[in-house]
Amino acid sequence: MRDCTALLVDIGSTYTKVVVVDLAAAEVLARGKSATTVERDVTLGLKRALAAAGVGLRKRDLAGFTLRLACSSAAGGLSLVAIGLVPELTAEAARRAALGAGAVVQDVYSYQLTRHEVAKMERLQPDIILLAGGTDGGEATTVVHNAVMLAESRLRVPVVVAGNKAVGEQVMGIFRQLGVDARLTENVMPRLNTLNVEPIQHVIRQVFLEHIVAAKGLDRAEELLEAVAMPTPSAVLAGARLLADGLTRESGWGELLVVDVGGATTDVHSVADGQSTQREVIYRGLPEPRIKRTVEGDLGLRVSAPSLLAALDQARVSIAPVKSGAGDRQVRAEQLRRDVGHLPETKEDWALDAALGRGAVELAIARHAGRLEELMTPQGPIFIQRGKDLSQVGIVVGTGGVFAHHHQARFILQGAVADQRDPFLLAPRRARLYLDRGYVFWAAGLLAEDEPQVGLRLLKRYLEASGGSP
Amino acid sequence: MTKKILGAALGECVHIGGVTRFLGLAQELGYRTEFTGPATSVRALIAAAQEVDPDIIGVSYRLTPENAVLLLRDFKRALEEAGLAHKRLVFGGTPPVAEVARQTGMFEAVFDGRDPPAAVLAYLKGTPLDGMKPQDYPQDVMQRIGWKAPLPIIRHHFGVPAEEITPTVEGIQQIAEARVLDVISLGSDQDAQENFFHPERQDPQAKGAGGVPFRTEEDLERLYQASRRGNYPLLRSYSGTTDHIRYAEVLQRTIRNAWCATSLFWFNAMDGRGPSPMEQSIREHIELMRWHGARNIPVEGNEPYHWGLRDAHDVVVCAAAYIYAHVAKKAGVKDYISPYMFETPPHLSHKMDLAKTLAQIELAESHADDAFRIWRHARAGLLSYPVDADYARAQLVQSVYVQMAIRPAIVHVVSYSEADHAASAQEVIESCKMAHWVMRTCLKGVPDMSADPEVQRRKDQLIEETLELINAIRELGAGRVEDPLCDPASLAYAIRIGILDAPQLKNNPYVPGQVKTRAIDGAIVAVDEAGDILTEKERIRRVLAQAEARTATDGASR
Repeated sequence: MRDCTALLVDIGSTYTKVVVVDLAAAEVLARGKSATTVERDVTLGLKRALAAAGVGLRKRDLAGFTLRLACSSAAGGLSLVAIGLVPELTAEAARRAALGAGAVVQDVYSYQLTRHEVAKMERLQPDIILLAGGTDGGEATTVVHNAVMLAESRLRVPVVVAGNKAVGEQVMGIFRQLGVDARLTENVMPRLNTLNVEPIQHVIRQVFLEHIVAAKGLDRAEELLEAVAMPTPSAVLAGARLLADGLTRESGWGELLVVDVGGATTDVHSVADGQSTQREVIYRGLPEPRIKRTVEGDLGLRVSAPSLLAALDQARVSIAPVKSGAGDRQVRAEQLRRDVGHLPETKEDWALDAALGRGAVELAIARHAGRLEELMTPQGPIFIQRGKDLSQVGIVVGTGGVFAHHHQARFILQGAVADQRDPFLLAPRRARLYLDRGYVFWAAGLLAEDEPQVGLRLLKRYLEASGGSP
Repeated sequence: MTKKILGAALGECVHIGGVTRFLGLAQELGYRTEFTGPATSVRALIAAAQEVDPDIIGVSYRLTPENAVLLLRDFKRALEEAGLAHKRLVFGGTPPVAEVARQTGMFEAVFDGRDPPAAVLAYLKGTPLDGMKPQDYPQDVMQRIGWKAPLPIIRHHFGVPAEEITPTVEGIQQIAEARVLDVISLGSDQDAQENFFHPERQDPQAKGAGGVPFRTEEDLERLYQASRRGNYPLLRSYSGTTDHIRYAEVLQRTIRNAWCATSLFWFNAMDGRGPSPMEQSIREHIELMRWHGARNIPVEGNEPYHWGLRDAHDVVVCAAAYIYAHVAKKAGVKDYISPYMFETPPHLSHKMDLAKTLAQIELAESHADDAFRIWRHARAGLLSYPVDADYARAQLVQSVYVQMAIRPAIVHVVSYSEADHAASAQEVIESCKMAHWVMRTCLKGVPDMSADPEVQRRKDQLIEETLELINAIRELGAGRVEDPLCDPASLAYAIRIGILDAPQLKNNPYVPGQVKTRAIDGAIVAVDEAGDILTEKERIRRVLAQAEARTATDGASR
């Protein structure tokens, strides 16, 4: 290929996608896709996807690209176990930091680890362990205890230490003594209710590059590419940040939400301060990061279809095609779970996907956005806010297969906008909707470091306006 | 190791003013603080305590006592379940809720807003007032300042004008019990200061006029014993205007005089408050400074504002501040209490008043070092108080507010009654409480008035002009003595020819009283016959020219 082009690859859990971008024109030149083959040899699927995009496989063909970058969520993505002290404080802070680093959080533990919990962790076999606990100068015994438990376990995965700095060196000493690869970074919650996620995310990414890529066999892709630079969710987050904040020379679109409905999960990313937009509101709980990602492991259109149905029932969300025939629904959901590559064919298939997609979006947004609750006090009612106030966020972007291909994509994405039925939910009230029909979000995110202006322009150019919310 | 305090407004309580002030004070004292915010559930507070592992948990609740009973029961149970029952707990709330908190027995201290000013500070410093023994109350002024910091200590005059000392004794008892005042300055009558050792000179008709008429060491001892209760305030009294050293010894022996206040140019024949002529008076004052310095007793420079009280222009007041600090240092004083009387004269604007005070501070503190420590002492202008008690209360609080801009170590509170009558014990207590409220409010942070460009410009101008005046005095004795600023003869000569002068000294045989001053744009400046501003350089030139002419005339006539 020619100079001044970028070859961008997403090695997904199901498909390996290729996008070729003209960096000078900020234009997508070619796309290609093939099934991911990480179980055998990741390069097989990659080569097929490259070929589908018309990319030659000879060294000199590949050398012609200015950039050859990939992200990946294959082989289970970047799996992580988070450990903190109190569930709603340092444990939650560690979970949020991990999600923001694009990790798949397998489990979260709090207080002093038991042998049973360590054994469970050994079975989970995470790629990374994130160890937090105690504010700086605060409680110190738990993080030390947990370090001993981890060091003495059979787990031999990198540990990122992000707890009370007063015992940071002591904790590192424990790991060093038993040959555990541990990285000391800043406390994820240095002071009460203060979240400090970026240093942790930086270290997690380092570990991903140095260890995880090779451990998952993704390093073979580096025969063809420069690097598997980040987990796919990180790329999507980087794209979201770029689109929201823009650059010094080119403005972004402002605060926004990105909803990614997949077969197994529904991810929501928000780039917004989330401060209360109303008066007389008291914030409660751990502050939210401005760039926030949530992953709903029970909300997906294929593998997670049964749990999505159950969640919809529990939340009493009723959408016409899902409503009728309880027995039939379960059967259909089971079929979808088994056939993850299923593409809708009949009118009913499309309708079911639309209904499930809409339901997944509604539930995922309800979990991602903050909520008000009314508290009666002797002075009268006051409102407590938990989570981010996204009511004034003006942009919602849908990305992922269902938004790329479904003719009712707009209807599905409208699930992100608050309606009258739940006035205390702090989801966007009025928003312009955009669809990522061309799969550019992750690609723009991959460009965010080296060619941010191209990334920003790609997003602005290829996200398809789908009107405003009703 | 830094101690940690975790604060919370518990339950549905959204009133955070008290707990944030408490945490602010704790921070000032070196604690590490964490705050959960308003309306903190018991569960959230326990969670925070587990992460932070505080030494003390501070709980605030200001709603109804009935709710407090249930809430505190939940809190106690939750602490026990979380293994945190050993934590030190402190409570703040309204009086009825505080009573509920006291009854639980959970809290080592409970504050209900009616506490003495130093109560919270004392608790944070590890010596709660409730548990303090007499010997725990610092009886040294510097220690008292440290004990009370970041609040200034409060000083107030007290002395009931009466024929005997009993009303003053009773008043001191009442004030000490109120725990609002740190230093009681005995306001004595004239014979107590001037004729303590000379009963034959005392005027029975004037006994008790203007202050407490103590006449014997036993009287002073009685007054001191009256203060041995409550917060054990320090006592002090004016210096004698005769028998200076002997009198100082008596004050030390009887009332453990907290510090000595002496002057340089006053309390002598010039103002009629003492018999000594100027040069001798200066020598006596310096001797008194030296005596106290040698005994490590702090000395207050009762000097600059006396010029302001007589409408001297601001440069003279600033020069007096510089000269006094200079002399005190040379006299071996270790701890110099540098007084700044605001609103003196009362027609100064706040801006120009603050500028003048900042200039005095800079000039005086240019002498400070490890061996000569300077403690800022602020007070309201004696002449600024209106007679109407309501206006006077307003004057008191606004004056203290401005005074706080200089971060004083000592605030000399002047009772709101002062323009009408000498303060009763009750009025002293009320006035101190008013001042305390302002001071603690200021600790939350106030705009930096001293940063005002106009204030800074005037301050710089004053410093420049003051140094002109100081140099002029130095020139007077140059070649004759090593340091004319410490030389009584040079200083007395500077007074005699009018380098230091004030309009209200007109017709005074010891000073020309020729200078004319006016308030222009809120500042007090020297003016010429036409009322136009005279620069200090020009004023000094004229003063020196007149002095030279007089000398020539005197020489010719001889």
